[in-house]
Amino acid sequence: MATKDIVFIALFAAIIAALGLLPAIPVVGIPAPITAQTLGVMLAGSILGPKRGALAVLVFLVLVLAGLPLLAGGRGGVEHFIGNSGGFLVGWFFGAYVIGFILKNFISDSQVNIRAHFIIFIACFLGGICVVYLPGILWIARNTGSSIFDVYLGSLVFIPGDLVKAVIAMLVTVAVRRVYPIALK
Amino acid sequence: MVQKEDGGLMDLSFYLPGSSVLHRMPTWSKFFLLISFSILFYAIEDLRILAVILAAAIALVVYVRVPVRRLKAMFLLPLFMVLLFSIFSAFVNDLNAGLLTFFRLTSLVIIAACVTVTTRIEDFMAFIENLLLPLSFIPFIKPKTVSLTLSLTLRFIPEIFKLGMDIKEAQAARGLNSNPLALIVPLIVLTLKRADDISDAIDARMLD
Repeated sequence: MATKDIVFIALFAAIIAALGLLPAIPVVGIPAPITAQTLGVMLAGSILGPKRGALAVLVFLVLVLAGLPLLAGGRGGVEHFIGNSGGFLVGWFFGAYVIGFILKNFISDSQVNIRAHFIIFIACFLGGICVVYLPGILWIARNTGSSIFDVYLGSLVFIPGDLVKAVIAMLVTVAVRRVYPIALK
Repeated sequence: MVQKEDGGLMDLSFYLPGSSVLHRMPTWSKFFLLISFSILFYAIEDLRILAVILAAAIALVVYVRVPVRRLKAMFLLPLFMVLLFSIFSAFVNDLNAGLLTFFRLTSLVIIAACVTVTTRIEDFMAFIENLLLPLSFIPFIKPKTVSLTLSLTLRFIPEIFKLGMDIKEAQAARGLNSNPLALIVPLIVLTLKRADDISDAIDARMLD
C-alpha cells in the first residue's frame, strides 16, 4: 500500500461520513429525499476500486463502532451493529468490494461510453443492493426468528429508492471518471 | 455535533466522562462481554429471565447516569426499530416470538449504548491497534498505518462536511438545489484531488 492509497482510503471514508451528515437531498420526481450515505458506499467501490473501496467502508465502520455518530441521522455506536441494521452495515463492506471488482474487470479505467454506463449500473445493482441485502436479511431473520422469505418480502419496500441510488451512483461515477480518472485498485 | 464551528473533534463523540465501573473497565473486556451477551441472550428462551435481564440493563443506564437528553438522541431510533421488528416478528410468527425479539434486542441495544457512552474514542482506537498487533505479519496490516488512516479520516470529516455545505449553497444560488450530481461530483473530485498533496506531505515526514 503506497501512501497515496492510504490517503484515498481515509478521504473516501471521510466522504462517506460527510455524506451521512449533510442534509438529505431532495430528488425531482421522488417524494422522499434520499440520504446519500449508501450512495457513498457504492461510490467507494466504483471510484476507488475493490480493495481500496472496501477498506474505505471498513474504516468508516470502525469509526461508527468506536461510537462516532457518523451514520445518517447522527447515529453511531456498537448498538447499531447488534440491532437490526447490523447485517446491512457488514454488507456495505462486501458490496463496495463487489462493485469495484466488477468495474475493474469489465471496463477500462477511463471508459465512459454507453457500455460503461451499463456495466457501472449493473455493478451498483449487484454490489450495492443484492450483496448488501443478503447479510442484512439473514441478520434480521435471525434476530426476529422469522423466515428469510418474509424478511425478504418486507425489505422489497426499499428497493425502488435503492434503484434510484444505483442510477445516481452510475452518473456520479461517470462524471468523476471524466474529470479525474483514478486507476482502480 | 459537527455543525459547531469551533468545537473540536471530540464534540463528535457520545462519550460521557464519569467514574462508574464501566468507565474503568478495560475496553477489550467491555467488547468481550457485549459479544458474550449477544450470544447468551439468544440461547435464553424463557421470557421471565429475559425480563429480569432487561430490568438489569435499564438499571445499568441509571447507574452510568446517561442524561435524559442524550438518552433521547441515542435510544429513540434504535428502540423504535427494535419495536418495529418485534411487531413484525409477532405478526409473522406468534406473540411469544415477538416478545422474545423485543426483550433480547432491547437489552442488547441498551447495554451496547452503555458501552458506547463509557468508552473514549482514543481508548477504542488503542484497542483496535492492539487487536491488529498479532496480525501485523500480514504486510497489508500495519498498526501504524491503521491508526494513520483512522486519524486522517477523523481529521477530514469536518472539512469535507464544510466543503459539502459550501457547494450546496453555491449550487442552490444557481438553482441546482435538487440535483444530487451537482453536490456529490464536485465534493468527490475536489476532495480526491487533494490526495497528492496530502500523501506528499506524509511522505516528506517519512512515516516509514
